[in-house]
Amino acid sequence: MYARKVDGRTYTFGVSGLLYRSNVLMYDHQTESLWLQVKRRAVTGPMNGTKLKTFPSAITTWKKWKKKHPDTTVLSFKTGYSRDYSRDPYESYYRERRGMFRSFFTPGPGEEEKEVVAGVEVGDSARAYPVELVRRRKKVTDTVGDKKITIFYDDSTDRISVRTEKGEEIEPIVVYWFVWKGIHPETELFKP
Amino acid sequence: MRTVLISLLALLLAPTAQADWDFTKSSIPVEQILGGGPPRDGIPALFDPDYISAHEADAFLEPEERVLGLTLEGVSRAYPIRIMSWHELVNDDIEGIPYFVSW
Repeated sequence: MYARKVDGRTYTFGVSGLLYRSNVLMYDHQTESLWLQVKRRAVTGPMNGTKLKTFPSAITTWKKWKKKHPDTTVLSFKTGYSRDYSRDPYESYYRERRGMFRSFFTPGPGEEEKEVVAGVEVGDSARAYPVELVRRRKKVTDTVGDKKITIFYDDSTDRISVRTEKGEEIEPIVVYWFVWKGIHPETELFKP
Repeated sequence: MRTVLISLLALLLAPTAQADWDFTKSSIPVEQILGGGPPRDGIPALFDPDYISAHEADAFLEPEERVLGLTLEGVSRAYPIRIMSWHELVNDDIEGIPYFVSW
């Protein structure tokens, strides 16, 4: 989740239909700049180079979210669009081993291209942490760039949070390994 | 096979898709920007949508199904992934704070 207010001006965002190295490009209606989802940054147009501010979010089950936040509301199925919300159009894709639009990626030995990872950026450095590994360990410490970081897994909401030694919060992004690797070709998958 | 077809489609669509955009300023190699299939807004983002209570949602949602959850200013909202897959983006506000959710 991101702030729509950037440098005092409020923007609305839409789906450009474009991809860059397997990654979704969003656009803002006000300037028609393209924003790279995984980098949280405008990469073309008048906003080029501008970063989005993130707000914490979690990808979890309905059961867990409701238990933790009993007063939550839920996006209504009455969206004004006629779509078949009884099914997720990517249902079968989630189960496939191969990624879509993966031409920029060659998996390394023993790597699963669709492994779900938490991507962390620290300055110019980046590393990806397999979500399953973080979930099992609850806590992983590492050094990325010049910063010591700890990655936490909160079982109550499946939320992954990242904190530096000095207590700064870094919002990770949960994506498939091949998606992350397309944008950060130089980075490694964390291995304990 | 489907992946190959989709990739081919993306390549065919690429020049048309790019013509709609101003790439005078950019920080990525623009020749690597490809059409993913649907045109601009072909996947419609949502704006200021309606919400239902957790109790009402129980009639629609399975306990184990995935949602994207967020809490801002003490207000919690859940976005079922199966709705997000059809729209990818939701533009909204909580307590006067404009935000968007991206899937």
